[in-house]
Amino acid sequence: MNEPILSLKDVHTHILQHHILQGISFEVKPGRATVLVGRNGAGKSTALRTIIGLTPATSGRIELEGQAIQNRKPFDIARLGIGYVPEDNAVLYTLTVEENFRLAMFKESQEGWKRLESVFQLFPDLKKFLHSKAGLLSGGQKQMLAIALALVLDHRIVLIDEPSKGLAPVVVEHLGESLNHIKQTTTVVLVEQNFYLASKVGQDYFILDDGKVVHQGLMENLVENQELKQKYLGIA
Amino acid sequence: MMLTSSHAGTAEPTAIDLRKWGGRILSIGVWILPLIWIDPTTYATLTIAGLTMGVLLFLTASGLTVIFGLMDVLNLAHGAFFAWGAYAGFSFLNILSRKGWLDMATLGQSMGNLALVLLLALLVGGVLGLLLERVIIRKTYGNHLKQILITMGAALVMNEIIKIFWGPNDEALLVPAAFQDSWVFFNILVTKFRGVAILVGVLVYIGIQLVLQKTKLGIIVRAGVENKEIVQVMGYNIQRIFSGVFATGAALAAVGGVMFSIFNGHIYPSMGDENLIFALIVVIIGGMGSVTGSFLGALMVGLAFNYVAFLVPKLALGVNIMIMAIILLIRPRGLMGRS
Repeated sequence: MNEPILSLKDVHTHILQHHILQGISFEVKPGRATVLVGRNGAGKSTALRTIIGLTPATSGRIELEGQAIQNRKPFDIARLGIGYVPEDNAVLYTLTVEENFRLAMFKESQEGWKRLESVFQLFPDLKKFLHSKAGLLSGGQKQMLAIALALVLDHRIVLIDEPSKGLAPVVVEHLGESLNHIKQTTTVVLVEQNFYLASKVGQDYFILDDGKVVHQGLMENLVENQELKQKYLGIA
Repeated sequence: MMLTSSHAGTAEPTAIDLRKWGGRILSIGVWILPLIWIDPTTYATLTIAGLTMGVLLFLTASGLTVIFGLMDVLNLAHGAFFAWGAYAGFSFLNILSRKGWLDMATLGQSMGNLALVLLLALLVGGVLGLLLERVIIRKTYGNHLKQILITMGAALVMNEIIKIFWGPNDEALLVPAAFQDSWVFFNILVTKFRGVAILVGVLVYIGIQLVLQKTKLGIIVRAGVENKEIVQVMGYNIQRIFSGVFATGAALAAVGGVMFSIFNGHIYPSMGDENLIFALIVVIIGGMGSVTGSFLGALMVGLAFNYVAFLVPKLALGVNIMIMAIILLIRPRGLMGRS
């Protein structure tokens, strides 16, 4: 149980000439909700994109349950059991909600459709709009759909990038409840600017600054630490 | 939480109306307007010729639009697949002719022969497409300039190889005898092959739509057109899908080549380049990535070409470029293109 499900060791990532991740290292424990926090441009989203392989690491090692994945393609990493919910355009707008689910299921099976029923219990609105184009859903519904898509497969770990972006506070509240439900069955790595949501969902945290991990610990300790929050997150 | 319209109140009413109706008005205008100058019988003949040309153009343009829409690849070698399909069909028709299959055939037997030739063209186009994607195109993803240069080069090479194998001169095509007969409807003469061509074009359109709209593969391809990253992180090997789509597009171009060459009755090495111009116009009018847009665009181009070729022959190609310019002015992404 103490073995990390996911670990990054001295990972560097470049985007064109920019050195975004500058030797990032952290470990995610299984069954926990881990939150990456930090200012804009700290490298949080890039860290998730690097893990899933969309922005490959230029050096370093990324392991999923001890297996190196840093040189694999995104589709291969996804098949190993990592779900990813990107920050923007996380659903296929021109497909119906049902087609989005069929796509997310990869290999459609009875088990997949059963899982979908349990996903609908979490996000009942989505069932009502099953035959609507995903592009016609509201912002909150799109975000629910994006997360639901990552749940229809039995992923070992789900990476979620800023799910609260652009959502009304009441929707963020609902989202927090859903994420808390999800973390009971799946390991979650969450990137979140909204500290309220991050603290509500997260159990472990890593603070990123200038592409490095500068602090880590239990979320309950970060909530109490005004100095850290002021220094790295700009929260008074 | 409510369903919301993504377009509500975003632009001035006049601008929305022009974008919404301009394309439709132009499409209907292309169809109806020539009636002012052309007598009904000639108009009907030209319309059938235009529809035939339209569906034949669609066969080539559909592959081009899917390749661009999904892969963001500007493939100027598409015309070469068209030509290779035509020459492969020419050789196979010669073989069938030597066996005497073309002379004695009824319409049903001729359609059977055509199906065999089209299957061969599909195979030739598919294999060549797969080869080109693996060897050349794959190295140029994300760079349009490289794609244009390398695919132009590939087209030149493929055309030269045609000259080596089949010679540089025009060749007359041996067309199944039954296709040269005609039907007469209300004094309007319709060559049987035109009917067959329209049937093949419509069947291909229906087939593509069925695959795209009703199958899991279609969902993956449509999703890939919209957002490649999402498709990858859901576990799909987009590279393999790219290869398949490219090969399918090339195969469709080859089928177009066979059908067009039977329609024209002869083949020549540069025929693909000429057809590529039409296919590009069709794809731009229809909207990059839209199969239905290409179908409508192809019909528009085919009809406009035939009407104008009758009225003002020298303007025949120019009118399609003019239609393309007007469409781009009122709908910059084409008739069915998405933002």
